[in-house]
Amino acid sequence: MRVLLLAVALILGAGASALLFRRRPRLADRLYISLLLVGATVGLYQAVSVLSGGPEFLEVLPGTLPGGAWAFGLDQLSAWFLLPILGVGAAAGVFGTGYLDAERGHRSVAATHALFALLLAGLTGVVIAQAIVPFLAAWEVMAVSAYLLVMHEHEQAEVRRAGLIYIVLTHLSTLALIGMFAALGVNATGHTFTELGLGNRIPGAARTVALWLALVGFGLKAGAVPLHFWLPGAHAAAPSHVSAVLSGVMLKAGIYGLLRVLLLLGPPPAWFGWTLFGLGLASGVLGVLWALAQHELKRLLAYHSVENIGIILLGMGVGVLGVVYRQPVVALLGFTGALLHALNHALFKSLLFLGAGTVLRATGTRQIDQLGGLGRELPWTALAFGVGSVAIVGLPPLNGFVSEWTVFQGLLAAGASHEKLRYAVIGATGLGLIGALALACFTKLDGTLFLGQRRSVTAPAPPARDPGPTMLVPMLMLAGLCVGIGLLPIVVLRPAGAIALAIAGASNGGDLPVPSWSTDATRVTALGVGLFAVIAALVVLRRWLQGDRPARLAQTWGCAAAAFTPRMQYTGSSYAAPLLAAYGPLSGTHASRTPDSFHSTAADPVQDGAILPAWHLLGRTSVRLRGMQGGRLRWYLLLVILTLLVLLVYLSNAGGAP
Amino acid sequence: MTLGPFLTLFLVLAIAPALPGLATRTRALLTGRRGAPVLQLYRDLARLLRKSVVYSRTTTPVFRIGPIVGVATVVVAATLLPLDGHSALLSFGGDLVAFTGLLGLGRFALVLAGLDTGSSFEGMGASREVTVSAFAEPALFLCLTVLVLASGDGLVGGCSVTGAGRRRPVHAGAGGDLARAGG
Repeated sequence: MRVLLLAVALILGAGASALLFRRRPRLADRLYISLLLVGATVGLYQAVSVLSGGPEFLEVLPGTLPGGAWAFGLDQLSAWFLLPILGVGAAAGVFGTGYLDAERGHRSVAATHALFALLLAGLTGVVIAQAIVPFLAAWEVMAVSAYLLVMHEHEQAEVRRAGLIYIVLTHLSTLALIGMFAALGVNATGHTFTELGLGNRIPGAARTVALWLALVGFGLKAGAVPLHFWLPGAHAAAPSHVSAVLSGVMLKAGIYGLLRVLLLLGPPPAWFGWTLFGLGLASGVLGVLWALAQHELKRLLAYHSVENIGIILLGMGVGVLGVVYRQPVVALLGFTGALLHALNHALFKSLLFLGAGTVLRATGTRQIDQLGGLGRELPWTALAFGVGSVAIVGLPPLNGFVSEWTVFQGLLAAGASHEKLRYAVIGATGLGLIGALALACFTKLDGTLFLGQRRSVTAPAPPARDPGPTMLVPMLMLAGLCVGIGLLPIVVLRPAGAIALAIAGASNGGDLPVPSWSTDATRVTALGVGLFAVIAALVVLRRWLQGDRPARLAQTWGCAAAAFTPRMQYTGSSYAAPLLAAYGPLSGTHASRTPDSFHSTAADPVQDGAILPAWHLLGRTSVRLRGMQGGRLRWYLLLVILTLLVLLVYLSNAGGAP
Repeated sequence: MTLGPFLTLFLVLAIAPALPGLATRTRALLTGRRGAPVLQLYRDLARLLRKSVVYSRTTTPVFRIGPIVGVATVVVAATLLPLDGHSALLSFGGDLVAFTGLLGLGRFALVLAGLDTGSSFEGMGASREVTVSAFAEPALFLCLTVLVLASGDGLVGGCSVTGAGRRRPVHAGAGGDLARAGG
């Protein structure tokens, strides 16, 4: 425990050093990076030791603190989520020093670094808290520091609007969580998680209420459709390295919370499993469809987070259903897939956001359709971004494949099991659709950003270049992890399987068979290595066949077009248009065509179609209540007396009057 | 491990170019034309192998590696198929997902190679390719879904391309028995 607190202290120290030495930027950056890296390494060491079978621990902070015992501890579930928090957090933090360097002239960068460290500390607190009050306190630290980071560029109206929507909804989420804990604690003896879970003494009605509130509170934080609409705006508005952590790591706080509740509550009801399943399917398909419609780089990536949260929820739903219908293999595969995807998504999504930040710094625009040909100017960024793209689409031999493969197996195993569970196999079709749409989306993104030629009419004179090592090294490291996990999945399959076993076993009350991960994982390794070997062999073969004949360079053949201009290229919008047209209004795009022009805009069907109209309606009806605030004392006194009367009648009926 | 599976793999790769030839020839005959010879693709390949290459100035290494990845993914995907009717070189639970994933990777590489030229024709082709596959792939998985539902059995941990050789019922429910009786 001491070690873990030391890690948090070091991370907070990194933030403090950025503030203290803000007048000496070089020193401040160096201190910030070193303290952050040391803190993250210390914490990661502790997490890895717990995951590899070391002792779990649970301690209560000494002294009297408000709200009962402040228990902190690290079990395997906490340790698993600590991996992305500290790993991705450190990488993004280092990237952030390079990224924000350009803004030093006109903005206070030190505060942003300090808030970033606070966000990491808050996230760590959320996963290691083992009692209600410290959990909610850490949750608020996380939520509020994230809000302040989203407001980094607060001079833009769009950013302020995104921040407002985010802060309102994150507090709605906290409110739901307070309600959830109240329901969970109906008969509990104390406020620590162990005391809440002991003996499952929670009455049926309170249980149902707690599960619904958990879905709302944690679902909002995770960004599941239809509670996702705060997410694209907030993640696009934040500085890129913060977006990487918000999208890659903070959304997982919601997933962690749901898993923690499952661990506490014991066997869940069937409706909970089907709800998770349905939310997952809806978030997955709609998330990727809306991503395809986006024109703005970071909004597109943010919508992809909705998609990936969907895949995670799909896995969790299958896991819960496996527990409900007593299908241990299904439960195990579902939960393992969800846990793996939570980690993998943290890696590749943060990598992609860092790549997006690099592109933004190099070109000054986030509009996809103005870019092009960046592969020649930023080759290393393009390589890292390409690795992230293949990983997020879920293609072998990278890490995204490993987790989607596990979820798939869970779905297919469900199809061959219990009578009521069999129809869950429909999820496999959904996952196939998600994969195919994600492929379309990321070929659009990679093709438009990095290939071809720059599309903007006013291309900048000096070509963009790869960033310095503080920005490049974190990206390459994350890309390396994506490849590494893809080639050696056993490293992550084993601990994830053990946690899944604990969740499924805890909710099942029985023993589960441990499938042999090692055989299948070795074969996936063979597949990946084999693929690289065949590619290498083909490169050699091609060179040999080509002999010493010279390769010539010429202009792209354009069906006898005399002069090719960059404006003749396909844009991202035209590339995606046929696919989006097939989905009609569901895709949220409005396209206008004239004989010589094509223009499309992307809207969010949930936010623009349902939430905002409802919000305005609420505003209009609330106006009528203004009469109550007339400013006349007599009127107020009457209201007070009326309220007292109602209360008295209620109390006398309830028999609780003193 | 014997050489057998490798020989079949080689054989499959060797006769692959004959298939499109057969298809175009059949189509031509059905529409009352004579059509190109069945082995035309082999002649084209032989001629192309003797030629030198021309690259567009717009292209990056993506253009050169794209076709190679395309071929490599097909070769590796073929190792997952039970080509001699009994066993595949490589098989594991849920390897069908790996099979479609590998073909997806090949498509990813080819589509990017097309976009790399910066020509609107290649852009059009790439767009069409992903649009069609966005409908074809879920359809494939829908077929698989129906198969799993109808048979009511499958492999532990999912469905395998080599299912025929290793099929073991996990849970033969009433629905599965009905489906089998009906089928």
